[in-house]
Amino acid sequence: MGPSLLMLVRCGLVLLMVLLLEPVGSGAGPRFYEDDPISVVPDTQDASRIRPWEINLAAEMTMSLFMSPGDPTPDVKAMNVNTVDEVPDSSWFTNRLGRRPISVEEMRRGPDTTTGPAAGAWTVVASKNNGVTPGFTIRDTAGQVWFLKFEARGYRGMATGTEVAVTKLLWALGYFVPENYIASLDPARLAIGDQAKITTAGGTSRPMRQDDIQTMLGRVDRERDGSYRVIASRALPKVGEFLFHGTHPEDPNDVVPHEHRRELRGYGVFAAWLNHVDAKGKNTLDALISEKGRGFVRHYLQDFGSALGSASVAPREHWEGSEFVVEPRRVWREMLGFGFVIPAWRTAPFYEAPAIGRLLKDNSSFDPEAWRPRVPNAAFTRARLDDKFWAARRLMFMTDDLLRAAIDTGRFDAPDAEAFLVRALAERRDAIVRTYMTGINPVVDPALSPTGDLTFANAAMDAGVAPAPARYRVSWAAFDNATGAATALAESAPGAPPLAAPVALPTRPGSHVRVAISAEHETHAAWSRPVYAYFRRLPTGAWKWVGFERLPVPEPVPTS
Amino acid sequence: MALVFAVGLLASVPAEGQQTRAEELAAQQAEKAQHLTPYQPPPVERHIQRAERLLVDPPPVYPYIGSIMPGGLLALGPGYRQRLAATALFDVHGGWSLRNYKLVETSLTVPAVSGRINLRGEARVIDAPGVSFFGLGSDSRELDRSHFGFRTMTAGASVRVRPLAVVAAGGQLQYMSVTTTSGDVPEPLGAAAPGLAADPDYLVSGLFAEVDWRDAPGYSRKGGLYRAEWTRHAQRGDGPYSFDRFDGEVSQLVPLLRANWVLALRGLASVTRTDPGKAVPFFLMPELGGSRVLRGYAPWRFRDEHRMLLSGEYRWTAGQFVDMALFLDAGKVVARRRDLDFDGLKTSYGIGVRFHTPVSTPLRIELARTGDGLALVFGFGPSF
Repeated sequence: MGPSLLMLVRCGLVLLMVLLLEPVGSGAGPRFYEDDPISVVPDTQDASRIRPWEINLAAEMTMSLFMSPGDPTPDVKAMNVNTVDEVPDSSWFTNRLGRRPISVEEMRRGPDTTTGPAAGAWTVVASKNNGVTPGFTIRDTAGQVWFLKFEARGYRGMATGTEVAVTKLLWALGYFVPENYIASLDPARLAIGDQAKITTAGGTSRPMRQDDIQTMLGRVDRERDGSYRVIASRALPKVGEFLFHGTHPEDPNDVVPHEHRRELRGYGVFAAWLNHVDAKGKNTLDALISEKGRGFVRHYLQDFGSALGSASVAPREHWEGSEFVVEPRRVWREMLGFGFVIPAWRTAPFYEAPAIGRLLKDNSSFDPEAWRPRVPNAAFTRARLDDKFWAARRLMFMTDDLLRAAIDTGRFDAPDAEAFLVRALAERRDAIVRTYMTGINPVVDPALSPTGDLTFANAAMDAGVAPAPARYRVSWAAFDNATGAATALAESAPGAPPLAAPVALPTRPGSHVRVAISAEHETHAAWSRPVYAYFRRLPTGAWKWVGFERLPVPEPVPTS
Repeated sequence: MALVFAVGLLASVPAEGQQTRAEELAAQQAEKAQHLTPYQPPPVERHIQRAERLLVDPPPVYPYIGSIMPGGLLALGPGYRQRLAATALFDVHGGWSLRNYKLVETSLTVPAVSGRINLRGEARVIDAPGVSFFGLGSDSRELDRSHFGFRTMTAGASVRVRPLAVVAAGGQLQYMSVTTTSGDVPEPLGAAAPGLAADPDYLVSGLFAEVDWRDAPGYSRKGGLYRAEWTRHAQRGDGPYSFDRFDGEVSQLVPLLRANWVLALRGLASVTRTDPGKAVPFFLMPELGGSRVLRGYAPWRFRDEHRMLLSGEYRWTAGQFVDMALFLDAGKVVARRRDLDFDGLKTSYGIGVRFHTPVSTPLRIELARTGDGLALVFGFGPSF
């Protein structure tokens, strides 16, 4: 038995143990702590001894395509959500849009803390040896290091504009992203540093020469005034990248398998929205941040040049977004189809413009479930309906004004193409909200008054994608926080919120109740599956919302 | 890893000893801090890393795997290569095939002007003791298959200049020494085969020009190739086997419905010219057969002084790395140029699958029906 198999068996045993223990809550402590629900997960351990590590792209792609890496257990609830099913702030994610209003000015600024590379001479300190976009690393007159990437010839605005716009959008959604600026490079201001090296096609490394710069500049798009439009990405204290499965074995604060992190699962929804087909581990960055004498790893998403209609060096291929790069079953079908098994993308109309690349023209009927990145992503494939609901609910708050502001920062200098991008993103957003808000019970924000009146909202109705259900059904239960046992109390009369508790609720401070809320809707049968909301009685007499399960495990039906 | 996984899995279940969620999460992190280990790549990653190292920084000694000449089947042998002055490449390799063909080849390739000029010097010895011969002309019979010995020693240089991305031209100058033996070629066939058992030495010179706007020569779904080449084989000592050869090729790829279908068409013609009293030796005549020209027929199945070939393929894409094709080849070899017409064409047709990358076709498998029967064809490049 090989080490991998042994590990799998051990994982399975641990999982079995947890599943067996969870229903009975056997001495594991209370279900809800006093500080639940937490809003921040701090990194408590010093990670400054972590060693630099880079993902092997070929290995990542091979494993993603053929080996389905990560936890094989199906239908696992996200493990980093708090007790009310939300993602706390952490070194992975900061709640922004949906938690608080984002202004147009904030969106335009995004993560930026400067205005880009300082003016004056730039010194090339390294060549760029990975990725498809030509580029190199420079140090500006302020001593700040920047990564520069260029435009493909004939596609002014496409790679750089896409990178900047998507950076702003993902920042607003809560992710850590680098500061990316559109800048202008004047070759006359460029000097080659003493330490700058380049790796030749033969694999040998040698000092960089002026003709290396000229060769590279000869392949990229040049402005009419002889300068070059570039994306300048502010260097971060990189220690590596992160995979979308497993944890980093040297990061003590990284305890939740990445495929079970909700913000990474939800990133799949955002990637579909943004047509970010290149969302893979190689396009992430782990930075070692030092604070108060110790270090922790902050996890960034980066390299968005292959999003929307751009494939960085060329417009996006028609198939991208519709298929994985390898799909054996599809290949067999199409081999035997003599060319007459025609995928939809072959005939769908596309919008094409040099400034933005190529993107599906009509996005009003966009199907986020049918969207595919180039290679399967372990976190995306494990996303459940509650993860997708979480992501869609954030997109609800992405107004057209915010979209316009983000796209404007891309400075595509092509009004029609920019207007198309805004329209496309709005249509895709609406399609995502429509799909994931209605596919699951959309009750949100439950509250219980001291006198027992239950209120809640319906996110699908708030988003305008579904009419009100015929009625809501609410079941009440006393909940033992120590054992996890629920004792049925009564059911409210079906109706609409506020719904009063039909019996007197516990009054002892520290007592808990569980409320199961379902809805009867003529078109959305999924709403009949109840969500569970948990409340704790405070000494003041008020009820505090402490727990929420959007997809609770159905309770076994008693047998006679 | 299992421990880490377990810790993550338990994140939503309070552990004993902690009073708050924050304490519980901190305890999980503290627990992991006791068991930090360096990243250990899984076996598949280690294998890939090894392969990448070989690709990026190939060792000077390598195994040669290839074909010595059509009909020789697979050849294996040792190779040695060395990069010189960053871009030049020296290579020497030898091969021994399943048909007992032998090869020793060395070359020095020097790219210049950012790859727009390619200079190549090479020397090669091939010993093929059993090359098929079926007689001359399109009416030769499969059952007349015989074999002759063919040995060449070649040394020379070539240059390829690419002034524009789609335009290339160049030339070659080589010394070639040929030795042939009669093998088991029967008398009637041998008598009609000029040059059998002759040992001519040649000064070979040639020029070519081409426009190639396919995505890549190794794989493309659109574009075209238009190529013309002239080669002069001047026998040393004013021997009887000097000749000129002209080759023209036109191929066009027409993508339909975003390359769901690709219509691929090719026309190929080769003509030779001799001065009075001279002849084209049969072993250097234009030929048909093998895996690229009149597919499915045996290699060297048809030889004569002139040839023509028309090929058509209906290709359909079955994935990003797999194409299928229905194909039809029709061609003939003739002794007189005026007979290059559409009468009496030999045909082959069939179906094939191609496994490709964006720029190459490492494997092509085709099932072909020919006048000689059914054949399975393996190719290690595009059909055209």
